[in-house]
Amino acid sequence: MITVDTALAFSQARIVPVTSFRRMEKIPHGAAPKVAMGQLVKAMEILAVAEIPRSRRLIDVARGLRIKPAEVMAAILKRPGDVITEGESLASRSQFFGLRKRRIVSPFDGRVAWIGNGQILLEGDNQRIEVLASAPGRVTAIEPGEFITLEVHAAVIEPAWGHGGLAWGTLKLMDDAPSYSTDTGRFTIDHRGAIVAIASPLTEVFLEEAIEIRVKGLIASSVSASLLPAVQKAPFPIGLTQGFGQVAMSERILTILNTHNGRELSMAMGQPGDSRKMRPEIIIPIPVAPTKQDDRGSEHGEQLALRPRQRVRILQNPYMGEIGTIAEIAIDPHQVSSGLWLPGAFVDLGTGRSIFVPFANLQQLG
Amino acid sequence: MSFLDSLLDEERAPDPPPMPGGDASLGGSILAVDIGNVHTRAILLDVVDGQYRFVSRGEAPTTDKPPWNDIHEGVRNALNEIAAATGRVLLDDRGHLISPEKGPAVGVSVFVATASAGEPIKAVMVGLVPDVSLASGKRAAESSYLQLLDTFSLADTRSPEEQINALLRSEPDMIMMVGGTDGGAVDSIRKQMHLIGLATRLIPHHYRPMLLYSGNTALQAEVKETLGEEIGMRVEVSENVRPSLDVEKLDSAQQQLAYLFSQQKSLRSGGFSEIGSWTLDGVEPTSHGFRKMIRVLGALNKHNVLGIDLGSASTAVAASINQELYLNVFPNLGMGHSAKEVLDTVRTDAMGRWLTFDLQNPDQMRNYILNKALFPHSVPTERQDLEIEYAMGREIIRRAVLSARNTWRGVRTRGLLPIFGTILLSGGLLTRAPNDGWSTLIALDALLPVGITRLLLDPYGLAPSLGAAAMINPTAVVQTLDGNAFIDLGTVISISGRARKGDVVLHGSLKPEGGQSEPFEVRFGTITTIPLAKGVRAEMTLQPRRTTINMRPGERLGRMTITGGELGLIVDARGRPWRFPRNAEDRHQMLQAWITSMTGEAAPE
Repeated sequence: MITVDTALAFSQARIVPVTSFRRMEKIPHGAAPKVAMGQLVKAMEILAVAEIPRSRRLIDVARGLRIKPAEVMAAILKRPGDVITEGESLASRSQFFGLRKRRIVSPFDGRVAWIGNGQILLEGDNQRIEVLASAPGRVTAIEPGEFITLEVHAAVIEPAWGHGGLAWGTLKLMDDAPSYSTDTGRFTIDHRGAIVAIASPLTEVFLEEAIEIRVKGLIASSVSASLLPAVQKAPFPIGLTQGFGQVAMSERILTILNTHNGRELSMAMGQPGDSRKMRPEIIIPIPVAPTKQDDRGSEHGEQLALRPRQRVRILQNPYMGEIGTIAEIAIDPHQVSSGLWLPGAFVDLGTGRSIFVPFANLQQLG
Repeated sequence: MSFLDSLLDEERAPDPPPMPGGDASLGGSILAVDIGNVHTRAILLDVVDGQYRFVSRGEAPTTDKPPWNDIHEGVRNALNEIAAATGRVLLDDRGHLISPEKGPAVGVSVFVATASAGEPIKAVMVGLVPDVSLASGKRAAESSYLQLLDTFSLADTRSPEEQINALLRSEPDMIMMVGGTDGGAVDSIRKQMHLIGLATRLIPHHYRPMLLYSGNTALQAEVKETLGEEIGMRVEVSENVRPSLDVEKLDSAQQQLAYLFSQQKSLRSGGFSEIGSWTLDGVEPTSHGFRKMIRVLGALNKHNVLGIDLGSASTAVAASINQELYLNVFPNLGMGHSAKEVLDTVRTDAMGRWLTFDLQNPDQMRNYILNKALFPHSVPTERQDLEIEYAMGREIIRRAVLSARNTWRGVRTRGLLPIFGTILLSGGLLTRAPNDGWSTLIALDALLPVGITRLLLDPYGLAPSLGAAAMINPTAVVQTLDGNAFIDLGTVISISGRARKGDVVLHGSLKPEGGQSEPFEVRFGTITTIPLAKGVRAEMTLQPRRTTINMRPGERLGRMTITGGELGLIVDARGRPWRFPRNAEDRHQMLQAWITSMTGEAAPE
């Protein structure tokens, strides 16, 4: 028999019209924070900067100067840690009674990392990495080399899948109802530089049109697996609210997007390999802090028992991606169409009819 | 000392002191936790009427990922289930485990923990010769949740700069260094050590990877001094994985890898440090616990044992073959977290051949698997989705065992499996099927065992925990195995060779104790069950026709005694090997006939 307290959520997500939350922006090792505690930052403002060497060069001084290993240390002009510029002499020796000098020069701007065994190890050709604020907020924590935390007031949608990094732009919602088919030929010059959202599956033609018009980001309900390679090559972030397949957008998510149509939002979709560390988020900043009554995302992060009246997202067919409310926790396991006997809950999808959904297929929404 | 005690003695931790509560002579209660990628499971073993019994279990979602990022929450929830079921107080007011026991229903004597949760440890391997030391190093590394990102050898065609750049780009958590035979030359190893030193100097001190040195033992002290004391890396050493060209020794390196797994998780993953502090030896990899269980089964049954643990993020294959133990972990072959990687390595048509229906569109299977990767804990509620998962599971097992066979000594890498007397099946896909027939069918389809095999199912995911506990208290585990730890699916008779479909290929009889002898015959191309009540012993005779039943060396087909399992006796007369019909409709009918035979389920409408 299942009691209320034994029904724990396997996953949580934020799909909330209003909340205050803390967003951790990961920063690379060695990045220097450019903000202070308590500082208010704008979206896309630089939070931290890192200079990451892209290249290393191991130079054999003895061979380069054609000298004996014992003579190397006398020929080296630099010390470990010295900053060097491209073309700068690192080591030299005189030839022909000082008439000619043989030199080893730095191939790039960088620093001397190590000297020993007749070798010089250089690192340089630095790449500047800027960590940007994905939403306006207040800096509440700085952990050098790890993360900077912002407190953000916003509407938040965690899409099922996201790819392509960060974008900030004006939301242009094309649809007012969820759909399984996607019309093309709807782009105008107004969509250039905007974040475009559709309530239907992304198609190849629509993606090509979005690339051509140069949108800043794309939100769709779903995409078919065969289009995934093209989606991953798109020059802007893409978020899928429902997942993979031919699935229409959930009414609830569409309502949030519709409410904020025309406003600026952030797509923080993460990079490949991030999926287990950072989850993609669509963040629509709101100017004032929500009241406690409005804020429905504050319990996010604690493992909560699934209970009646909680909002949940369904994670499997045939109701994949739909959002509903738990009507009742089922006392005993039920048999589903696949033949499996599973513990679960009855979920009201707003149609007046409750459907049985296994706990494992429910995502608790904050 | 029993034979099992002596068998396990080398790996066993010191005996715990006698504790209050339970039978002191047996060592008191044992709490074991396994932290998987989806579920955190806890089991309580205690002495009941002078015998150890599996008393209670708890299960909760694992909480290592956002938004929790701390396994402690999931462990606490699993322990709360046991506490609620047994009335035993396990945690104190601050949420810490009460150990040793403070009375019959307060705390536990011993706590062991295994884990597979979280990302695998990112590693690079540095060695000398690809086919020798590096090959052995890779086999050792396959025992743990390790993702090998790059290898560096003397045969590397990259320049030193390119190798340094590659090593730094990998951002490894660990470098495993192998190479050189004991007593052999050391210059080449020094060269590789120099390369590691150069690269790791460029990494900020706090982020420098750990190093496991498993090469020429003569250089152990030098490696510790150069890379440990001078560079500041954390250096651990093990015995040489290749002490001579014709000898491979993986145990010591594998033990060190398990230790480093625990250390790495404690450093980088929330909650591991605290859970580890409740144990004697830290949190060990689930795969190692699983291997120990296979070792116990091998020792108890005195025959070859195969174990398959099909997880969400990885699959472990453990085998005891001729008293030698093997363990291979495949971190990119899993049913959930690694489902996307499975799509990269397993062809969809290989999975599609197991379906009894035509896909609605070419993307149907890929869409389902990609969504499964997004929500690994989700379960199929539609029949077609269930079949897609089972198709994926069969191909993962098939591929994992094929790869593992490369490391099994004296076994052909292709062709029929060696004879396994027992096969243990673990992992949610296999153990949470609609019925035992499905679990059996998936395993037989994927493994195609030969000869006579006993199939065991680990329905509560106890195997890794029991394996880990066996090293502390083998008596407890052996007595628990006598109880209800595993489900005995039944004995499987696998027919080898080929015949015409429908021809009778086996005559046999079963005579249950105190009952009448019942003859049976089996036709080629079928898989069927012969009724024999669970736990009932029966005398069996088998007479194959035009086909064979592979037997172990020295054994002959004659009268033998078997015990009925959940499915009675299972006869797989589909031949070894067998091929799928090319025609889709024929294939669907054939698969459905097997499903119906094993599960009783008719074709879906």
